[in-house]
Amino acid sequence: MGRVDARLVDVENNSKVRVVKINLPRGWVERLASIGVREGSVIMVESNDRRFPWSPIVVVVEGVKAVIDRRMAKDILVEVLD
Amino acid sequence: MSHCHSDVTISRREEETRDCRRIVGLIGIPNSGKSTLFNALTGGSVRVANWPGVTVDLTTGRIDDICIVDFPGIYGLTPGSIEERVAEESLLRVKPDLIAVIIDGTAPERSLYLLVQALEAFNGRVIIVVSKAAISHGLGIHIDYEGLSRELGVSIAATSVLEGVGVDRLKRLIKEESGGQGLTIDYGLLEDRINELATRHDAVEAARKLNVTSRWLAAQLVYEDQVLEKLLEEMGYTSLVDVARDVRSSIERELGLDPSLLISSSRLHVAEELAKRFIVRREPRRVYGLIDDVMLHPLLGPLAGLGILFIAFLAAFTINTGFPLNMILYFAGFETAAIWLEEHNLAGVIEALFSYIKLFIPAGEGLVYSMVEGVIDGVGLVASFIPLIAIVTAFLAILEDSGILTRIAVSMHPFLSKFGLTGKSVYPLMVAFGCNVPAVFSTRILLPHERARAIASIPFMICSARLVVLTAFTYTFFQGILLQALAATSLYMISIIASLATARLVAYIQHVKEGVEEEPPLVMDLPYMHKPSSRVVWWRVRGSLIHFIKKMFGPILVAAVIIGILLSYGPEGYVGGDIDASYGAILGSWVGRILEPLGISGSYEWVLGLSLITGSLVKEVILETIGIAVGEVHPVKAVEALTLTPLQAYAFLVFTMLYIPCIGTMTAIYSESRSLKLLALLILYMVGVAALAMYLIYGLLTLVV
Repeated sequence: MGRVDARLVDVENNSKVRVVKINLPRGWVERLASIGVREGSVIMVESNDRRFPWSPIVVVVEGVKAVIDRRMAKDILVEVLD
Repeated sequence: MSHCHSDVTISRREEETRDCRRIVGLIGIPNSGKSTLFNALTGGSVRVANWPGVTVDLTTGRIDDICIVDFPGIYGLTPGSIEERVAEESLLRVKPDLIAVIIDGTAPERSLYLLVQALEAFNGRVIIVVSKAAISHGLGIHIDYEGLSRELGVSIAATSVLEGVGVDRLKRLIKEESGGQGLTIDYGLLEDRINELATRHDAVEAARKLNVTSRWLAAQLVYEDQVLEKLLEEMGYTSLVDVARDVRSSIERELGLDPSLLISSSRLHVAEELAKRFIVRREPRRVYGLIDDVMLHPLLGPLAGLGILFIAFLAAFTINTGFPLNMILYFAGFETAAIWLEEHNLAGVIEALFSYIKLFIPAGEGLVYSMVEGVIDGVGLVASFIPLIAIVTAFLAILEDSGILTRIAVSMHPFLSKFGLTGKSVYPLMVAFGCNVPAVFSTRILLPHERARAIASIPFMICSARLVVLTAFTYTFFQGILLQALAATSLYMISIIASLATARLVAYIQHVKEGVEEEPPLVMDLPYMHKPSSRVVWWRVRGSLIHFIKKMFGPILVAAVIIGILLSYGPEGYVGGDIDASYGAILGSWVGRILEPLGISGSYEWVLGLSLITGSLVKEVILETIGIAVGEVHPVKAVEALTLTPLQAYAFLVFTMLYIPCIGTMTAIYSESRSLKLLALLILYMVGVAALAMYLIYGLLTLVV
């Protein structure tokens, strides 16, 4: 396992992160994989507005935008690259 | 090619495969462009078919003597969600001769996990279809088709349906191709155990019957694929399933690892390697722009989403019925313009046409006369829905094809998820304010569990027909615009609360019975935004209309004829226009007893009861029935003649807004759920909720006022 800096839910806007660990049931691990989010993948957090707890986190994975529910992002551990 | 299998429980139903030289299945992740490709391939030969043992309808089409089946969108053959279980099961039961795996050209990496599993499972029966190839190129995505095809040993068709690129090649492949080589995945630490299981006699035999590889079957069993386990147990391979369970337990015990994670990692690794070798991306560029900045904003997004839907809703219903623009014009003081709009909309024209046709029926009496009148009314009713269905579907297709609907879904999700719905439900719910029938049809964009929640909640929404009744009653029984507005607004609030509470209740039941999440989380790609295609819009409209006419015509016609006869006949025989002597009036008097606790009794009890019965045909008929029964043509004067108190009128309105849906909605619910039991339960539930709300509100208001 690589270095864990934060949970995805706590990452600042416009950060580039590498997913280190996903602590979710397997069905959801695969659902995340379908949008390109899996252990080891590098994603850009485009928008994570923590002032609005209901808003999803907008990420860019492999050049395509996707949204991840904040409840799931709590269980995704990441390494902040820049 | 033979379709015979020794095990009857998994054989295809004869009628579905009759005249099919071969069956080709289309699979792909959601939003991969699969349905667009399906339409391009099959043209007008689409039908919704029920396959044996398959719990969902599968859209089926043809190219000459080849049957094409469009399977629900799936992320992989390892079922995570309930929806994926349904999709995997249907794929295993239908057993296509060739599987076309759709790779979304705008995000090809996403589909590789599914492709890897399909190649492993359906050894030698797979072709690859890359969709949206032209857009993909424009996005700076380059796929090495030849390299990928050579590496995997399968044929590839790069398509761009809107430009007509690659469709002919795909048709040729579908007709001639028998597939290529399969794929063997190295499962590392699990290799020996999977191999051992895969070479067992019963595993080989079961795999042959299911038309999959025994290696995939073994890996799925070690993964704990419950769909496959259930199917194998159904086929009598209980001992194989038990052995696989022991293997799984021993792996967990000895290696301390979850085998399912090892299996999915091995498959993901192969998919990632393929992506690295055969897909090249230039630096991603910003293609979403200002629209995403607004639509994905936590505060602006929901406002923009509702605004777009409101404009679409306003346009669709104004063209068709004049509503709600006519109401806006009335309130703004442009009464002449409002009247003109009411007389010159599509529904008005159709109504005038059918009234004109009725003029040609010679005056008469008797059963045949009543039936002919009923048939004309029924045909008129179906015809009046057609423009509305077409326009609503067209708007939905435009929003969906352009990518805006996904963004609206994201913006509305946080609110709707509290009621067990995802953001995608906002469109059907908005449409329901105009008409419940197209709203039920537009739930097709939802996955099965959410769809059930939405369908159960839609009939509580106050449609434009119920609004007519609401307006007449509030105008008559409440003095002053403030009280009228308060009464109308509170009734809308009651209906919205009943609707969302029902969705949450269904979500709770599904959670308890099937373990489905009550508040669905949001994980989705935001598809590339582009100008909607008129061809795609037309395909959707055509499909929707064909489905509507085929499924709705019969039941609506029968109901119209039955109601016509009930109002024309009584114990003394034919009663003509003398409704109070009809069977309908007797039934009305029986139904009217529900209103007795409100102090409504006597001569008008049966009128209101009868209006509730006829209102089940179309809600506006409530006013017409009251008008005929009290001998007043003008709806306000007719309602006035009932001499109700404002509290009685309000309580009656509460019941009318919430009780059973109209025959059109009931038929739509039946045609979409194919369950009379479910429809009956929903009707009973609605009547119960309506009665409870009516008594409760009347009681409370009596104490307060």
